Amino acid sequence: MPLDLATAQPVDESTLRDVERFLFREAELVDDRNFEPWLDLFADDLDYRGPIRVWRGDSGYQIDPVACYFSDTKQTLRIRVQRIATGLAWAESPPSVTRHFVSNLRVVEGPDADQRTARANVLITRSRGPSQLQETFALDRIDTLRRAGDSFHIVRRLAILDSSMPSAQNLAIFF
Amino acid sequence: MLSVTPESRAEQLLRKGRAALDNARIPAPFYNNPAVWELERERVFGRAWTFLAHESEIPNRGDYVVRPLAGSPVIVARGDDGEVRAMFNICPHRGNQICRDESGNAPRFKCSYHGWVYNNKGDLVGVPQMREGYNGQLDKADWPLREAKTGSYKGLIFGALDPAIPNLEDYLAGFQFYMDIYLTPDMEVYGPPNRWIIDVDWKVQSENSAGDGYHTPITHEFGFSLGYYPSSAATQSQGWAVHIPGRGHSIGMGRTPGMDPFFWYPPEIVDAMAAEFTPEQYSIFKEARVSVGLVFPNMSLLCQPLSRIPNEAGTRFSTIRLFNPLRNGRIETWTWCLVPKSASAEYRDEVYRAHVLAFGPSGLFEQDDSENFIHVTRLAGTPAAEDMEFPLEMGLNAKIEEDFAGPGVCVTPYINDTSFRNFWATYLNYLSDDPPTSASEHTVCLPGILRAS
Repeated sequence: MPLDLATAQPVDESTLRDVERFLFREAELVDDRNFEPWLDLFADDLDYRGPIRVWRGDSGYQIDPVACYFSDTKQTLRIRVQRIATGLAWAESPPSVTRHFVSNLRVVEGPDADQRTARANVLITRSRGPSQLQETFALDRIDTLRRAGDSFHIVRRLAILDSSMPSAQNLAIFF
Repeated sequence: MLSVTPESRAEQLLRKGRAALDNARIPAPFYNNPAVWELERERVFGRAWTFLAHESEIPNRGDYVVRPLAGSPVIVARGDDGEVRAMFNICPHRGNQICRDESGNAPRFKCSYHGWVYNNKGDLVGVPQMREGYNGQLDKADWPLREAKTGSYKGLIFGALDPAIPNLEDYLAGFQFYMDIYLTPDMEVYGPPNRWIIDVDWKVQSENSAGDGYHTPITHEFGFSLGYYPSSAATQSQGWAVHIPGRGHSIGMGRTPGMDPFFWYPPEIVDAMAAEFTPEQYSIFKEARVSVGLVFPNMSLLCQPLSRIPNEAGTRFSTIRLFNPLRNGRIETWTWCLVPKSASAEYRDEVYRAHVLAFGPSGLFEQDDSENFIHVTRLAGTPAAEDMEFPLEMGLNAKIEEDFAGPGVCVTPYINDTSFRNFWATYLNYLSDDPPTSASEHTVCLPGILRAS
């Protein structure tokens, strides 16, 4: 059952700060292209998905249950990182400069006892090399976090782009 | 009085293009030029069949998807009578867009301007103020939604702007033999398509999809370095390049010596394919590692083995790709993943995940391709490229495989420009107002190039 954030129990103030600090750290690592420690923040049973949003005349905006822009495990996420490191990922040569803005954070207990669910509005800007174009991605991001020592692991990330037509030549960055 | 009409930019390019192609070359401006685009939207897209949707996207009466048809939006709907139609999404009353959705199910469509209402068969069924405004005398039968011609092959729905176009079967001209590799066993699309806009000319994408095995070990070199390919760079070139002369359709099939027949297809899928393929299809397809095909002008079909994790057992995915031109140098790409209707949920999900890891806007292969295609497109529109011509001479002396079991002309190896010459020759024939009629009326000029005799 998907967690209903509206009725779930909000976390206490200290946990909220912990989650916020964790997500800011995660954004910093990915924007700094410090990908190895960034990968360490994800659980081995990771489900990292960017579902497609479709406007249907009979039922409004639908977040498609199967169709997506990306659907990665920890292993395929690691492959994306390794691929960039080969220097043969032409869409990231020169590499993107990204900026992840993580805001409007809401954190609730669950769905499992050792888990927290964090929903944030995320804005990502992306620039590349000498190009003057800057791409912008706005998304509704829902993370399921599991306690790992004094930090967390991201078990599930649902990165739902606002647009059903991404305004980008590719989605070669991380969300 | 003698009047001399100056040769237009498009006519000039066309003349240069035909001369260049006789020398197995193509002028660079064909990859991105506004004058060429003005001509091709009328003479190529105005006269070709283009892919719209898969029947499994609209299984129920009233289901619809909104799709581009050669620059115009159409509502592809299954009417209450069960028939599939492609109706222009333009109100015949004042030209407003009738349906603003991507998909849905509806008995009727109502225009938001003056409120004319059409049923899902395109009939005008409601006109506000019929008595007060029209004195009850407007004949509704005169004002249905305008309908495009449609045709289908094994679930693929195509549309055409030209009501006089030859039927789809004639247009495909035997290429159905090869399309079956993607459409067997009975397939459906998995979820709605991915779509996104990139600064790439449709012909750059289409030419590559006509069967470019040459770029694979370089553009996608990461795949070798991460251990992704079940073949090596050394064997990558082997296989067949087949084209339908004068029609622009072609397929490249890479094969790896010693590869297990139909490898990475699960046994039940192989059995289902074997039951449906002809012996000729079976003998060829069992050896095809990768199959990359083009239905002229802008529909690509691709089947590829992929393990999501290198060196682990993988799967096969089949994808439909549409390069919908928005103008010269810009396309809206659509991708669908085909999965067997009979397969398990786990298998279908695995196929989709392999597909989306490789293709679509985040796809590892797609990213590499489009990065190159963006540069090719941009530079083709610069003054530096004005007088450049690109070579299409690979395989000019290629061996024609007379004993090949499939239709069309087959050459080896898989890396070959013969299918590209066929693509460009067909394209230039359309641009010259000479769309294909019958191959028998033509003679082969160079391998891949038919000329009127």
